Amino acid sequence: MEMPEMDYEIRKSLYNKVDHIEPSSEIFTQILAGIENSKRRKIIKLDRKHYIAAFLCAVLIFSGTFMLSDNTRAFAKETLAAIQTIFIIDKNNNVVEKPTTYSFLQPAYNKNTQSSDSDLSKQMGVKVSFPARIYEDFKLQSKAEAVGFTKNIDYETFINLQSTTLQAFDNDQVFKNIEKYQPFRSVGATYSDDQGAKIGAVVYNEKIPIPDENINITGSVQTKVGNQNAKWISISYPVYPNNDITQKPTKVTSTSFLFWSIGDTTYQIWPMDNKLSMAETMKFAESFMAAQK
Amino acid sequence: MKDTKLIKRCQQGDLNSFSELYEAYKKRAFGTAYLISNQKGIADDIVQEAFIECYKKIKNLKNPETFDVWFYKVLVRTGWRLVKKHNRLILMEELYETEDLNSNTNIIETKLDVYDALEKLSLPLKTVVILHYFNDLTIEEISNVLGCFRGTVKSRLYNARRMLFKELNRDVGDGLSLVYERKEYGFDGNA
Repeated sequence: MEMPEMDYEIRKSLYNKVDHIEPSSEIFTQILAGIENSKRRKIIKLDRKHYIAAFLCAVLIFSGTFMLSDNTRAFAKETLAAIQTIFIIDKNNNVVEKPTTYSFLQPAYNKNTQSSDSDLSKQMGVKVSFPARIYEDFKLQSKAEAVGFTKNIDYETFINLQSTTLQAFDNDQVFKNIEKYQPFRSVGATYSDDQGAKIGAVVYNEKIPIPDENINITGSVQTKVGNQNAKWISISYPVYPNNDITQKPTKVTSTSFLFWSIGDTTYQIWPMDNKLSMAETMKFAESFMAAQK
Repeated sequence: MKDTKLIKRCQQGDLNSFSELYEAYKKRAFGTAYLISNQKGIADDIVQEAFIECYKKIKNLKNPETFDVWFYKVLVRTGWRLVKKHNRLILMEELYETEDLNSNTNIIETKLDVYDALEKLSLPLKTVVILHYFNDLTIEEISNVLGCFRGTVKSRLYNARRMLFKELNRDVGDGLSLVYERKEYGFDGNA
Protein backbone atom coordinates (compact mmCIF):
# COMPACT_ATOMS: atom_id res chain seq x y z
CA MET A 1 0.00 0.00 0.00
CA GLU A 2 1.31 3.50 -0.88
CA MET A 3 1.09 6.48 1.48
CA PRO A 4 -1.60 8.49 -0.42
CA GLU A 5 -3.66 5.39 -0.80
CA MET A 6 -3.28 4.79 2.90
CA ASP A 7 -4.83 8.18 3.81
CA TYR A 8 -7.92 7.18 1.89
CA GLU A 9 -7.92 3.73 3.49
CA ILE A 10 -7.62 5.13 7.00
CA ARG A 11 -10.57 7.46 6.52
CA LYS A 12 -12.68 4.75 4.92
CA SER A 13 -11.79 2.21 7.54
CA LEU A 14 -12.74 4.53 10.41
CA TYR A 15 -16.09 5.38 8.86
CA ASN A 16 -16.80 1.71 8.14
CA LYS A 17 -15.88 0.77 11.66
CA VAL A 18 -18.57 2.98 13.22
CA ASP A 19 -21.09 2.77 10.42
CA HIS A 20 -23.00 -0.18 11.80
CA ILE A 21 -23.13 0.81 15.46
CA GLU A 22 -25.37 3.26 17.26
CA PRO A 23 -25.31 4.67 20.76
CA SER A 24 -27.72 2.96 23.14
CA SER A 25 -31.22 4.37 22.90
CA GLU A 26 -31.43 5.10 26.61
CA ILE A 27 -28.25 7.17 26.74
CA PHE A 28 -29.98 10.52 26.67
CA THR A 29 -32.28 9.47 29.49
CA GLN A 30 -29.21 8.51 31.48
CA ILE A 31 -27.61 11.83 30.64
CA LEU A 32 -30.67 13.66 31.94
CA ALA A 33 -30.62 11.53 35.08
CA GLY A 34 -26.93 12.39 35.53
CA ILE A 35 -27.67 16.09 35.14
CA GLU A 36 -30.52 15.84 37.61
CA ASN A 37 -28.29 14.07 40.13
CA SER A 38 -25.57 16.63 39.77
CA LYS A 39 -28.08 19.41 40.37
CA ARG A 40 -29.28 17.64 43.50
CA ARG A 41 -25.72 17.17 44.68
CA LYS A 42 -25.08 20.85 44.04
CA ILE A 43 -28.02 21.86 46.14
CA ILE A 44 -27.00 19.55 48.95
CA LYS A 45 -23.50 20.93 48.72
CA LEU A 46 -24.90 24.42 48.90
CA ASP A 47 -26.86 23.55 51.96
CA ARG A 48 -23.88 22.11 53.70
CA LYS A 49 -20.88 24.10 52.56
CA HIS A 50 -22.35 27.30 51.25
CA TYR A 51 -24.72 27.54 54.10
CA ILE A 52 -24.61 31.29 54.15
CA ALA A 53 -25.42 31.67 50.47
CA ALA A 54 -28.33 29.32 50.86
CA PHE A 55 -29.45 30.94 54.04
CA LEU A 56 -29.73 34.39 52.60
CA CYS A 57 -32.73 33.50 50.55
CA ALA A 58 -35.06 34.53 53.23
CA VAL A 59 -36.60 33.96 56.48
CA LEU A 60 -38.81 31.60 54.57
CA ILE A 61 -35.90 29.31 54.11
CA PHE A 62 -35.50 28.84 57.80
CA SER A 63 -37.87 25.97 57.65
CA GLY A 64 -37.06 24.86 54.13
CA THR A 65 -33.50 24.42 53.04
CA PHE A 66 -32.46 22.99 56.36
CA MET A 67 -34.23 19.87 55.34
CA LEU A 68 -31.79 18.08 53.10
CA SER A 69 -30.56 15.54 55.59
CA ASP A 70 -28.70 12.29 55.24
CA ASN A 71 -32.08 10.63 55.21
CA THR A 72 -33.55 12.78 52.53
CA ARG A 73 -30.51 12.76 50.32
CA ALA A 74 -31.43 9.43 48.89
CA PHE A 75 -34.79 10.83 47.88
CA ALA A 76 -36.14 7.35 48.41
CA LYS A 77 -39.68 6.72 49.42
CA GLU A 78 -38.75 3.84 51.65
CA THR A 79 -36.40 6.14 53.52
CA LEU A 80 -39.11 8.72 53.75
CA ALA A 81 -41.48 6.12 55.13
CA ALA A 82 -38.96 5.34 57.86
CA ILE A 83 -39.04 8.92 59.11
CA GLN A 84 -42.00 9.38 61.41
CA THR A 85 -41.39 12.73 63.07
CA ILE A 86 -39.72 16.07 62.71
CA PHE A 87 -38.80 18.67 65.34
CA ILE A 88 -39.90 22.28 65.46
CA ILE A 89 -40.19 24.98 68.10
CA ASP A 90 -43.46 26.13 69.61
CA LYS A 91 -44.42 29.70 70.45
CA ASN A 92 -42.36 29.52 73.65
CA ASN A 93 -39.26 28.27 71.85
CA ASN A 94 -39.73 24.78 73.26
CA VAL A 95 -38.73 21.97 70.95
CA VAL A 96 -41.71 19.82 70.03
CA GLU A 97 -41.98 16.67 67.97
CA LYS A 98 -44.49 16.60 65.12
CA PRO A 99 -45.54 13.96 62.59
CA THR A 100 -44.08 14.28 59.09
CA THR A 101 -47.58 14.99 57.82
CA TYR A 102 -47.74 18.23 59.82
CA SER A 103 -47.96 21.17 57.42
CA PHE A 104 -45.74 23.98 58.54
CA LEU A 105 -43.01 24.38 55.91
CA GLN A 106 -42.74 27.19 53.43
CA PRO A 107 -39.60 25.86 51.83
CA ALA A 108 -37.33 27.48 49.26
CA TYR A 109 -34.80 25.63 47.14
CA ASN A 110 -31.60 27.49 46.36
CA LYS A 111 -28.69 27.36 44.03
CA ASN A 112 -25.76 29.63 43.41
CA THR A 113 -25.95 31.40 40.10
CA GLN A 114 -23.57 33.07 37.68
CA SER A 115 -26.43 34.62 35.68
CA SER A 116 -26.24 38.29 34.87
CA ASP A 117 -28.52 40.77 36.59
CA SER A 118 -30.41 41.32 33.34
CA ASP A 119 -31.03 37.57 32.94
CA LEU A 120 -32.16 37.32 36.54
CA SER A 121 -34.44 40.32 36.03
CA LYS A 122 -36.02 38.64 33.00
CA GLN A 123 -36.59 35.45 34.94
CA MET A 124 -38.05 37.28 37.93
CA GLY A 125 -40.12 39.79 35.99
CA VAL A 126 -38.70 42.41 38.35
CA LYS A 127 -35.62 44.53 37.84
CA VAL A 128 -32.83 43.35 40.11
CA SER A 129 -29.34 44.69 40.37
CA PHE A 130 -26.47 43.46 42.52
CA PRO A 131 -23.62 45.92 42.10
CA ALA A 132 -20.07 44.67 42.66
CA ARG A 133 -19.65 47.19 45.46
CA ILE A 134 -22.34 48.77 47.58
CA TYR A 135 -22.68 50.99 50.66
CA GLU A 136 -19.09 52.04 51.19
CA ASP A 137 -16.96 48.90 51.27
CA PHE A 138 -19.33 45.99 50.93
CA LYS A 139 -18.26 43.74 48.06
CA LEU A 140 -20.40 41.25 46.21
CA GLN A 141 -19.51 37.67 47.23
CA SER A 142 -22.05 35.43 45.55
CA LYS A 143 -25.48 35.37 44.00
CA ALA A 144 -28.18 32.76 44.44
CA GLU A 145 -31.58 32.11 42.98
CA ALA A 146 -34.42 30.23 44.58
CA VAL A 147 -37.84 28.79 44.00
CA GLY A 148 -39.97 28.60 47.11
CA PHE A 149 -43.55 28.20 48.28
CA THR A 150 -45.74 30.39 50.43
CA LYS A 151 -48.27 27.64 51.04
CA ASN A 152 -47.60 25.57 54.13
CA ILE A 153 -46.68 22.03 53.19
CA ASP A 154 -45.68 18.97 55.14
CA TYR A 155 -42.32 17.27 55.22
CA GLU A 156 -43.34 14.44 52.88
CA THR A 157 -44.65 16.84 50.26
CA PHE A 158 -41.47 18.82 50.58
CA ILE A 159 -39.35 15.78 49.81
CA ASN A 160 -41.57 14.72 46.93
CA LEU A 161 -41.54 18.20 45.43
CA GLN A 162 -37.78 18.56 45.29
CA SER A 163 -37.20 17.07 41.88
CA THR A 164 -40.01 19.08 40.26
CA THR A 165 -38.89 22.27 41.93
CA LEU A 166 -35.38 21.79 40.57
CA GLN A 167 -36.81 21.76 37.08
CA ALA A 168 -38.91 24.85 37.83
CA PHE A 169 -35.76 26.97 38.14
CA ASP A 170 -35.38 27.08 34.39
CA ASN A 171 -38.77 25.97 33.16
CA ASP A 172 -41.75 28.29 33.47
CA GLN A 173 -44.19 25.55 32.54
CA VAL A 174 -43.04 23.38 35.42
CA PHE A 175 -43.24 26.45 37.63
CA LYS A 176 -46.88 26.88 36.58
CA ASN A 177 -47.57 23.22 37.22
CA ILE A 178 -46.80 23.68 40.91
CA GLU A 179 -49.08 26.69 41.21
CA LYS A 180 -51.20 25.10 43.94
CA TYR A 181 -48.25 25.42 46.31
CA GLN A 182 -48.10 29.19 45.60
CA PRO A 183 -44.58 29.26 44.21
CA PHE A 184 -42.37 32.32 44.00
CA ARG A 185 -38.97 33.12 42.64
CA SER A 186 -36.32 35.01 44.49
CA VAL A 187 -32.75 36.10 43.89
CA GLY A 188 -30.27 37.22 46.45
CA ALA A 189 -26.67 38.14 46.99
CA THR A 190 -24.23 38.17 49.84
CA TYR A 191 -21.92 41.09 50.51
CA SER A 192 -19.08 41.46 52.97
CA ASP A 193 -16.70 44.21 54.01
CA ASP A 194 -13.06 44.12 55.04
CA GLN A 195 -14.04 43.84 58.71
CA GLY A 196 -15.83 40.59 57.95
CA ALA A 197 -19.39 41.87 58.34
CA LYS A 198 -21.75 39.92 56.10
CA ILE A 199 -25.07 41.04 54.77
CA GLY A 200 -27.62 39.42 52.49
CA ALA A 201 -30.00 41.15 50.09
CA VAL A 202 -32.96 39.26 48.68
CA VAL A 203 -35.65 40.21 46.18
CA TYR A 204 -38.86 38.19 45.81
CA ASN A 205 -41.22 38.47 42.88
CA GLU A 206 -44.24 38.10 45.17
CA LYS A 207 -45.64 39.70 48.26
CA ILE A 208 -44.22 37.33 50.82
CA PRO A 209 -45.66 36.77 54.29
CA ILE A 210 -43.40 35.86 57.17
CA PRO A 211 -44.04 32.26 58.20
CA ASP A 212 -45.89 31.75 61.43
CA GLU A 213 -44.53 28.29 62.20
CA ASN A 214 -41.11 27.25 63.50
CA ILE A 215 -40.13 30.92 63.71
CA ASN A 216 -41.09 33.22 66.55
CA ILE A 217 -41.21 36.94 66.01
CA THR A 218 -39.67 38.52 69.06
CA GLY A 219 -39.79 42.14 67.94
CA SER A 220 -41.01 44.37 65.13
CA VAL A 221 -40.01 47.98 64.64
CA GLN A 222 -41.72 50.16 62.05
CA THR A 223 -39.21 52.11 59.99
CA LYS A 224 -38.60 53.40 56.46
CA VAL A 225 -36.25 52.56 53.60
CA GLY A 226 -36.29 55.75 51.59
CA ASN A 227 -39.97 56.62 51.40
CA GLN A 228 -41.12 53.05 51.80
CA ASN A 229 -42.53 51.64 55.00
CA ALA A 230 -40.44 48.76 56.24
CA LYS A 231 -40.10 46.61 59.34
CA TRP A 232 -37.09 45.67 61.34
CA ILE A 233 -38.08 42.22 62.47
CA SER A 234 -36.40 40.14 65.14
CA ILE A 235 -37.01 36.42 65.29
CA SER A 236 -35.89 33.26 67.02
CA TYR A 237 -35.51 30.02 65.15
CA PRO A 238 -34.11 26.51 65.73
CA VAL A 239 -30.67 25.35 64.56
CA TYR A 240 -30.54 21.71 63.48
CA PRO A 241 -27.58 19.32 63.40
CA ASN A 242 -26.53 19.04 59.75
CA ASN A 243 -29.61 21.13 58.88
CA ASP A 244 -31.64 18.00 59.49
CA ILE A 245 -35.12 18.75 60.72
CA THR A 246 -35.67 15.11 61.63
CA GLN A 247 -33.13 15.59 64.41
CA LYS A 248 -33.59 17.63 67.56
CA PRO A 249 -32.36 21.22 67.23
CA THR A 250 -29.08 21.90 68.98
CA LYS A 251 -30.18 25.39 69.98
CA VAL A 252 -32.66 28.18 69.36
CA THR A 253 -30.98 31.32 68.11
CA SER A 254 -32.05 34.80 67.05
CA THR A 255 -31.49 37.32 64.27
CA SER A 256 -33.00 40.48 62.80
CA PHE A 257 -33.62 41.76 59.29
CA LEU A 258 -35.30 44.50 57.31
CA PHE A 259 -38.40 43.48 55.40
CA TRP A 260 -40.69 45.49 53.12
CA SER A 261 -42.76 45.29 49.96
CA ILE A 262 -43.23 47.62 47.02
CA GLY A 263 -46.24 46.52 44.97
CA ASP A 264 -45.85 42.79 44.47
CA THR A 265 -42.14 42.77 45.08
CA THR A 266 -40.69 42.01 48.51
CA TYR A 267 -37.22 42.97 49.72
CA GLN A 268 -35.19 41.63 52.58
CA ILE A 269 -31.87 42.90 53.91
CA TRP A 270 -30.31 40.72 56.53
CA PRO A 271 -27.10 41.31 58.51
CA MET A 272 -26.12 37.67 58.55
CA ASP A 273 -23.72 37.73 61.45
CA ASN A 274 -25.73 40.23 63.47
CA LYS A 275 -22.78 42.65 63.35
CA LEU A 276 -24.72 45.51 61.75
CA SER A 277 -27.21 47.60 63.69
CA MET A 278 -30.65 48.44 62.39
CA ALA A 279 -29.44 51.96 61.42
CA GLU A 280 -26.48 50.56 59.43
CA THR A 281 -28.70 47.96 57.79
CA MET A 282 -31.10 50.69 56.73
CA LYS A 283 -28.25 52.63 55.11
CA PHE A 284 -27.21 49.52 53.27
CA ALA A 285 -30.83 49.01 52.20
CA GLU A 286 -31.08 52.54 50.82
CA SER A 287 -27.87 52.04 48.89
CA PHE A 288 -29.22 48.74 47.57
CA MET A 289 -32.53 50.28 46.52
CA ALA A 290 -30.73 53.11 44.73
CA ALA A 291 -29.10 50.43 42.59
CA GLN A 292 -32.50 48.91 41.72
CA LYS A 293 -33.70 52.07 39.90
CA MET B 1 -21.67 22.08 13.07
CA LYS B 2 -21.75 25.46 14.75
CA ASP B 3 -25.24 26.59 15.69
CA THR B 4 -24.26 29.38 18.05
CA LYS B 5 -27.87 30.24 18.92
CA LEU B 6 -28.45 26.67 20.00
CA ILE B 7 -25.28 26.70 22.06
CA LYS B 8 -26.25 29.99 23.69
CA ARG B 9 -29.61 28.53 24.64
CA CYS B 10 -27.81 25.54 26.14
CA GLN B 11 -25.65 27.95 28.12
CA GLN B 12 -28.83 29.27 29.69
CA GLY B 13 -29.61 25.77 30.89
CA ASP B 14 -32.40 25.07 28.39
CA LEU B 15 -32.82 21.29 28.39
CA ASN B 16 -34.79 21.22 25.14
CA SER B 17 -31.91 22.92 23.36
CA PHE B 18 -29.51 20.55 25.03
CA SER B 19 -31.55 17.67 23.66
CA GLU B 20 -31.17 19.20 20.16
CA LEU B 21 -27.47 19.55 20.72
CA TYR B 22 -27.24 15.90 21.71
CA GLU B 23 -29.09 14.84 18.57
CA ALA B 24 -26.77 16.94 16.44
CA TYR B 25 -23.58 15.58 17.98
CA LYS B 26 -24.44 12.10 19.19
CA LYS B 27 -23.40 10.14 16.11
CA ARG B 28 -20.05 11.84 15.72
CA ALA B 29 -19.46 11.75 19.47
CA PHE B 30 -20.29 8.08 19.72
CA GLY B 31 -18.14 7.27 16.69
CA THR B 32 -15.19 9.06 18.24
CA ALA B 33 -15.74 7.38 21.59
CA TYR B 34 -16.04 3.98 19.97
CA LEU B 35 -12.89 4.43 17.92
CA ILE B 36 -10.98 5.53 21.02
CA SER B 37 -12.23 2.70 23.22
CA ASN B 38 -13.02 -0.02 20.67
CA GLN B 39 -15.84 -1.20 22.94
CA LYS B 40 -19.48 -0.23 22.67
CA GLY B 41 -20.12 -0.32 26.43
CA ILE B 42 -17.21 2.00 27.16
CA ALA B 43 -18.20 4.23 24.24
CA ASP B 44 -21.70 4.58 25.73
CA ASP B 45 -20.17 5.56 29.07
CA ILE B 46 -17.83 8.06 27.43
CA VAL B 47 -20.67 9.73 25.53
CA GLN B 48 -22.87 9.80 28.60
CA GLU B 49 -20.23 11.32 30.87
CA ALA B 50 -19.04 13.75 28.22
CA PHE B 51 -22.53 15.15 27.63
CA ILE B 52 -23.20 15.48 31.35
CA GLU B 53 -19.90 17.34 31.69
CA CYS B 54 -20.85 19.39 28.66
CA TYR B 55 -24.16 20.45 30.24
CA LYS B 56 -22.50 21.34 33.50
CA LYS B 57 -19.66 23.36 32.01
CA ILE B 58 -21.09 24.84 28.82
CA LYS B 59 -22.01 28.08 30.55
CA ASN B 60 -18.26 28.67 31.06
CA LEU B 61 -17.62 28.53 27.31
CA LYS B 62 -16.85 32.13 26.42
CA ASN B 63 -17.07 31.83 22.65
CA PRO B 64 -19.84 29.56 21.30
CA GLU B 65 -18.00 29.52 17.96
CA THR B 66 -15.38 27.31 19.56
CA PHE B 67 -17.89 24.77 20.79
CA ASP B 68 -16.67 21.96 18.52
CA VAL B 69 -13.12 22.07 19.78
CA TRP B 70 -14.27 22.52 23.36
CA PHE B 71 -16.68 19.60 23.12
CA TYR B 72 -14.10 17.26 21.57
CA LYS B 73 -11.73 18.24 24.33
CA VAL B 74 -14.29 17.12 26.92
CA LEU B 75 -15.04 13.98 24.93
CA VAL B 76 -11.42 12.94 24.39
CA ARG B 77 -10.46 13.71 27.97
CA THR B 78 -13.38 11.58 29.22
CA GLY B 79 -12.49 8.88 26.69
CA TRP B 80 -8.89 8.65 27.77
CA ARG B 81 -9.87 8.54 31.42
CA LEU B 82 -12.37 5.72 30.94
CA VAL B 83 -10.12 3.74 28.62
CA LYS B 84 -7.29 4.07 31.09
CA LYS B 85 -9.57 2.92 33.89
CA HIS B 86 -10.79 0.02 31.79
CA ASN B 87 -7.25 -1.01 30.84
CA ARG B 88 -6.31 -1.00 34.50
CA LEU B 89 -9.18 -3.39 35.20
CA ILE B 90 -8.09 -5.60 32.31
CA LEU B 91 -4.59 -5.63 33.72
CA MET B 92 -5.94 -6.75 37.07
CA GLU B 93 -7.87 -9.53 35.37
CA GLU B 94 -4.79 -10.59 33.44
CA LEU B 95 -2.87 -11.00 36.68
CA TYR B 96 -5.21 -13.84 37.54
CA GLU B 97 -5.17 -15.43 34.12
CA THR B 98 -2.50 -18.03 33.55
CA GLU B 99 -3.94 -19.77 30.52
CA ASP B 100 -5.41 -18.65 27.22
CA LEU B 101 -2.14 -17.96 25.47
CA ASN B 102 -3.85 -18.95 22.24
CA SER B 103 -5.59 -15.62 22.00
CA ASN B 104 -2.28 -13.87 21.27
CA THR B 105 -1.49 -16.47 18.67
CA ASN B 106 -4.81 -15.75 17.04
CA ILE B 107 -4.04 -12.03 16.87
CA ILE B 108 -0.71 -12.71 15.26
CA GLU B 109 -2.21 -15.01 12.73
CA THR B 110 -5.02 -12.66 11.72
CA LYS B 111 -4.36 -10.47 8.74
CA LEU B 112 -4.25 -6.81 9.76
CA ASP B 113 -6.61 -4.21 8.33
CA VAL B 114 -6.27 -0.49 8.91
CA TYR B 115 -8.30 -0.50 12.08
CA ASP B 116 -6.40 -3.42 13.57
CA ALA B 117 -3.19 -1.56 12.83
CA LEU B 118 -4.62 1.59 14.39
CA GLU B 119 -5.40 -0.37 17.53
CA LYS B 120 -1.72 -1.09 17.91
CA LEU B 121 -0.87 2.60 18.22
CA SER B 122 -0.55 4.35 21.54
CA LEU B 123 -3.66 6.23 22.66
CA PRO B 124 -2.26 9.72 21.88
CA LEU B 125 -1.24 8.69 18.36
CA LYS B 126 -4.51 6.89 17.78
CA THR B 127 -6.48 9.91 19.00
CA VAL B 128 -4.71 12.25 16.62
CA VAL B 129 -5.52 9.90 13.73
CA ILE B 130 -9.20 9.72 14.79
CA LEU B 131 -9.56 13.48 15.20
CA HIS B 132 -7.88 14.12 11.87
CA TYR B 133 -9.41 11.43 9.67
CA PHE B 134 -12.74 10.78 11.35
CA ASN B 135 -13.62 14.17 12.82
CA ASP B 136 -11.99 16.19 10.05
CA LEU B 137 -10.30 18.51 12.51
CA THR B 138 -7.37 20.63 11.39
CA ILE B 139 -3.94 20.45 13.00
CA GLU B 140 -4.72 23.71 14.79
CA GLU B 141 -8.02 22.38 16.11
CA ILE B 142 -6.46 19.11 17.24
CA SER B 143 -3.75 21.02 19.09
CA ASN B 144 -6.50 22.94 20.90
CA VAL B 145 -8.44 19.77 21.69
CA LEU B 146 -5.38 18.01 23.08
CA GLY B 147 -3.83 21.10 24.62
CA CYS B 148 -0.49 20.61 22.91
CA PHE B 149 1.61 22.40 20.29
CA ARG B 150 0.80 22.18 16.60
CA GLY B 151 4.25 20.70 16.07
CA THR B 152 3.42 17.91 18.51
CA VAL B 153 0.23 17.14 16.60
CA LYS B 154 2.09 17.15 13.29
CA SER B 155 4.77 14.87 14.64
CA ARG B 156 2.20 12.50 16.17
CA LEU B 157 0.29 12.37 12.92
CA TYR B 158 3.47 11.77 10.98
CA ASN B 159 4.59 9.02 13.34
CA ALA B 160 1.16 7.42 13.34
CA ARG B 161 1.00 7.34 9.55
CA ARG B 162 4.53 5.99 9.35
CA MET B 163 3.78 3.26 11.87
CA LEU B 164 0.49 2.39 10.20
CA PHE B 165 2.24 2.26 6.84
CA LYS B 166 4.94 0.03 8.25
CA GLU B 167 2.40 -2.16 10.00
CA LEU B 168 0.20 -2.59 6.96
CA ASN B 169 3.10 -3.40 4.69
CA ARG B 170 4.92 -5.76 6.99
CA ASP B 171 4.70 -9.50 6.78
CA VAL B 172 1.96 -10.96 8.87
CA GLY B 173 3.50 -12.54 11.95
CA ASP B 174 5.53 -9.85 13.68
CA GLY B 175 2.60 -7.60 14.46
CA LEU B 176 3.11 -7.71 18.21
CA SER B 177 5.92 -5.18 18.17
CA LEU B 178 3.68 -2.20 18.80
CA VAL B 179 1.39 -3.78 21.34
CA TYR B 180 3.46 -2.77 24.35
CA GLU B 181 3.71 0.88 23.33
CA ARG B 182 0.18 1.52 24.62
CA LYS B 183 1.30 3.05 27.87
CA GLU B 184 1.43 6.74 27.04
CA TYR B 185 -1.61 8.52 28.35
CA GLY B 186 -0.77 12.12 29.29
CA PHE B 187 -3.07 14.80 28.02
CA ASP B 188 -0.38 17.42 27.68
CA GLY B 189 1.31 16.15 24.57
CA ASN B 190 4.30 14.86 26.49
CA ALA B 191 2.95 11.44 27.17
